[in-house]
Amino acid sequence: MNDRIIDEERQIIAPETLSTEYVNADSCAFHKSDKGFLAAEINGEKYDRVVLLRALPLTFPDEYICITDVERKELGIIEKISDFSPEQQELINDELSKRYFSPVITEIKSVKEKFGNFYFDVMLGDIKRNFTVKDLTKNIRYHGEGFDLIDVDGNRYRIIDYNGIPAKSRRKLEPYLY
Amino acid sequence: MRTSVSFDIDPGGNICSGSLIAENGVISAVCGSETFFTSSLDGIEEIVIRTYVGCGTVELVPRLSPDDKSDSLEICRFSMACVEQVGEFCKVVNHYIETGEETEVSTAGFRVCPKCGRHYAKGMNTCLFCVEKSYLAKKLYSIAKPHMGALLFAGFFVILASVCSSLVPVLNARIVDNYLYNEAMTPDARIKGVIITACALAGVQILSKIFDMISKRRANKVSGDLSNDLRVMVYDKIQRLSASSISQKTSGDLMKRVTRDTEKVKNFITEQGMYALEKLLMFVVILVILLRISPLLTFIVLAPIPFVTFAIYKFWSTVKVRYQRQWRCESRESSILHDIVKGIRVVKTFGSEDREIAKFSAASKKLADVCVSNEHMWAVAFPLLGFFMGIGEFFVLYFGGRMVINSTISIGELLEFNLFLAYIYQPLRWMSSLPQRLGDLSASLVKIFEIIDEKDDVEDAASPKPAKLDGDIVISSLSFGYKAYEPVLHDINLTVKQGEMIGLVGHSGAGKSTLINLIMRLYDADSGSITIGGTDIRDMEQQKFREQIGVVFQENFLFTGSVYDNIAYARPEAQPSEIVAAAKAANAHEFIMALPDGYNTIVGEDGHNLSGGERQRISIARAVLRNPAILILDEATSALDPETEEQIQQALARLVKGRTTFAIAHRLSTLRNANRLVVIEKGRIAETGSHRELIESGGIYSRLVNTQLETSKLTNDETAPVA
Repeated sequence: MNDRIIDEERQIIAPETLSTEYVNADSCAFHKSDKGFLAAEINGEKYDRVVLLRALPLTFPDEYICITDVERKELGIIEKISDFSPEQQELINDELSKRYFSPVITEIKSVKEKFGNFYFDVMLGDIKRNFTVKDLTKNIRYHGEGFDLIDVDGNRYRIIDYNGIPAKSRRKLEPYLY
Repeated sequence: MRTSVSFDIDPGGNICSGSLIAENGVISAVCGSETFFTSSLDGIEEIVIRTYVGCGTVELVPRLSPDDKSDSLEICRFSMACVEQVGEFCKVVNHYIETGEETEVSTAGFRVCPKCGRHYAKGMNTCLFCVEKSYLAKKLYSIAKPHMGALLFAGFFVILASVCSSLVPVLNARIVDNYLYNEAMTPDARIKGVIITACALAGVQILSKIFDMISKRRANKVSGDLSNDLRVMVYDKIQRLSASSISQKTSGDLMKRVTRDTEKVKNFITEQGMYALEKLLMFVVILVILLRISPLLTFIVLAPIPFVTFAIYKFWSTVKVRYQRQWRCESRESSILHDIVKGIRVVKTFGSEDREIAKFSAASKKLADVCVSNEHMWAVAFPLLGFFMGIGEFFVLYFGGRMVINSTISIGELLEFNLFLAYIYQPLRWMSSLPQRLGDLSASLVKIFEIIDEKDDVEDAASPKPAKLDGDIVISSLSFGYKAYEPVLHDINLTVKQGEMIGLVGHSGAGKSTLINLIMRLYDADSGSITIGGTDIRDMEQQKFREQIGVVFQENFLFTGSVYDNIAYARPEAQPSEIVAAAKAANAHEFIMALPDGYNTIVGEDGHNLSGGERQRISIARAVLRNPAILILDEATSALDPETEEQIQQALARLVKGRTTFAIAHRLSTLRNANRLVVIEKGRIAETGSHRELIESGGIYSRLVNTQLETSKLTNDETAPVA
């Protein structure tokens, strides 16, 4: 009986407190300002420069996108990028790619562990890059089928699909993964 | 003058090799042969960096730019690998904009190895990728050096003990050859010879044990001293590290370095270092003896050893990786356990015991699997390696037996050879396990020297002046950022009269606490200065300087110990009467007297036996006892009920009297005693004046007061009893 009352209360509380108002293609439109920044009109209000931030960059990179001003004051949230027109999506993705930079690792040439630091030599497409990761367990962020490695400077290097990289590369990294 | 640094992301978002150039008042960004940005610095207010995830941008902000910075000009993008250089570049350009003076980009803070181009890990001044093996040997020697005499003394007795025990096979061979199988002697003479040799055997055994005892006693003494020295050395350095350096490390990590890593280094020096000489000497001496008995048999014994040693060396690299994995699994399991134990109340209130059990079980199962796999490998590989290393013994039996039958060597010599074989395998096994021991040692040594070699961010001047904190505090053109490329405070100018109370007001993150940190000299300003009585605080002796500053934070740490000890922490030599007086002034005396053991009450770990208000009053008593020239109150009365707050306010009013005081408070009513209020907004001083002046000006302060009044009215309305 008590359980039923609590459940009913939950249902009453839920719609008010656990729902978020999103902006959508009808209430929000983006364009490029003459200075090259992303600008927007949200609920009739014009903003000459906005910033887009992912709320869940690892688990839902294309959903729950916060629109803020340069001081990070929130102006609205997009639920799904796919709800917008292709042109608008292009503007959104272009802005996000400026805020989140994670070059994709296509091959791992070598991983050397020295004194607790991990020295990576990798290929980012046809570009060779080396970077250092201190304490691998603390600087790896898993997402979907892959993960991001965070180096000592704060750069992120992405493996989109761990099983998609060459087996030889996997063998080099495998012993160091948890 | 031309100044340039590198950047690495082109306008299309691709990795490139670009140059950011400032020359004759013009900024340009060049990628390959293409110059994709050029702008004059005329009409520009500043050049700024905006950092995002894994990258950042450099922008020019024109004068009178709107708040949304929509008329800024984006120059280029860069990955975080370039952030330090670009940050330094911006400093140089901003200096040029402000003063017209041209300076060069300082490369002092760049953490790049000149040899391999890799970036150093945070807090390190050495590239661990390029570091030579001698680096560790030198570090190890520097630790062992003060104890070298004692170590050599112990090592000498270890050698004597080994020499004695290596005489055992020789004497055994003599018994066999000279007396047991010597038909030329009479039975009585042979028995006499056996007795004499047996006595000699007992003598060398006794001597060996005595020498062993002496060396062990000495080694234990060295071990204790070394362990103590190492721990104190690391602990001492941790105490002296700057606030910024400490904030980059976890307490668990620092504790591990003081306890576990120092213990590992000590163990290596006392267990391996002392025996190294003995093992090497033993190997050479026994090799000579074996060669003298039979070069052929010696060759047979030693032939498989290079192959086995190579196999062991390779095997260790696999073992190392496997054990590191096991270490990570153990670490993961213990961190889950730590989390659950600490947060057990949350787990219980959310009824998520099953979920947490499943999480821990999964981590525990993984650890068990890794352990089993490692142990399986170990169980198979180790006996195999041992067998192959000793395989020469079987051949020695065959070839040695033939040599005895052919009378090439005597039975005694074969027996002596076999007994010495056991001795030669000992140093060989020790040497083969050395790479693993060195690997283990190097990890700990590096962690220790990461701390010991760390350069102080806040250093005393070469000849510091005595710290006298009487006089006005003058803050001039002060700018600072925790990261060089992200300024938190800009151009702060403020003069505070001696004895004046300044209330620092502003939104969270405005820079109030940062300003306090700079006044306490927990950090040094990037530019500008703070002087007290005309002397720059950077020229004052740090310890004496801080001895004259009292601080009361929102959350005050109490050490495990009594109430008395915690108050006396400010001045250990204080008399009990002074402690009681300080407690009275802090309105703490009354509640302390209600405790069963009064001032001798143990406060428990982090003062958990006391309430927040009680802990706060003890910390105020601590500040009263210190009698500081400058007092810092950082949110000292927040999170307290109105009655307790009133008591603490009274105590603080007594404390601030006649002292230069800086007080931060979000609840503006608590700053009612301040002589002047300074409003900080986005790292700059936005308003200064008395409460009345600032209210009348209708600026930020006035809006903050109104917001608080409205909130408090709202709260009162909500909590008012319904008529």
